[in-house]
Amino acid sequence: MGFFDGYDVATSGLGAQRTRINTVSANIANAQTTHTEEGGPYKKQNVVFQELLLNEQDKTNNKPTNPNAPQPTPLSGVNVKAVIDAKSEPIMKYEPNHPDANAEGYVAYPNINPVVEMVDLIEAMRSYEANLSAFQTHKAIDNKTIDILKA
Amino acid sequence: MEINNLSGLQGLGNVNKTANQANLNQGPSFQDMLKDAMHDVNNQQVQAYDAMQNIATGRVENLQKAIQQIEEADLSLKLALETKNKAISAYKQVMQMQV
Repeated sequence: MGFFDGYDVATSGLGAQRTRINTVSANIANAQTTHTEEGGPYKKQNVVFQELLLNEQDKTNNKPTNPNAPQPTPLSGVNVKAVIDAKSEPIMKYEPNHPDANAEGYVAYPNINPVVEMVDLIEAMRSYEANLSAFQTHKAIDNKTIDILKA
Repeated sequence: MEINNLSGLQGLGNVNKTANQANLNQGPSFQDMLKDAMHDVNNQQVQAYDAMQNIATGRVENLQKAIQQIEEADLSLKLALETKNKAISAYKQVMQMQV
């Protein structure tokens, strides 16, 4: 188990939550967007996380040398697997003068609730802060351990 | 009083010789280990300076990764410094030993 493995885990969490904050920001920014590149209204984006095994490479490299050697602790970081479109129906509003209105005069708005997005944003921010705390804890215990050598 | 008994000290020299020979035959020398360790610490310092430069010039893509590199370099240097201090203080204690 490496000296800096804990930092890798905490940093992977920071990166994942940063992606989530970016995605939620995009959702808030495009809450009223009726026109997109692929046509139709903006679709709400969701982030899918997956486990990221940090010691997988070491395991394969060390196998032939010594089977009795202690296996590296399987540590799991987190990784963004994909950013997917939510499958929610758009909200139809009657606005005949809108350039994106259909033949009946209805405009398709994205099905995004800004309040829900704000809650998601706060949750992502708290998760980011929790990962920061994990990082700082690692730093604190390493600093204190090095302090043993002093005096 | 028999001073001749001091000849028993010859045994100490023999022990040292065999210990040195054993060291030569197995594994890297202390010098190589120290060199490798210093090389690793230096590499991390170089990486950390690159990360700091990227932050300062706005070229940073992954802020948390840059911070991690800087912190790792900081801790490595601290550990190397404290180990050096410990070795120097051990040497000083030996040199101050009353003979």
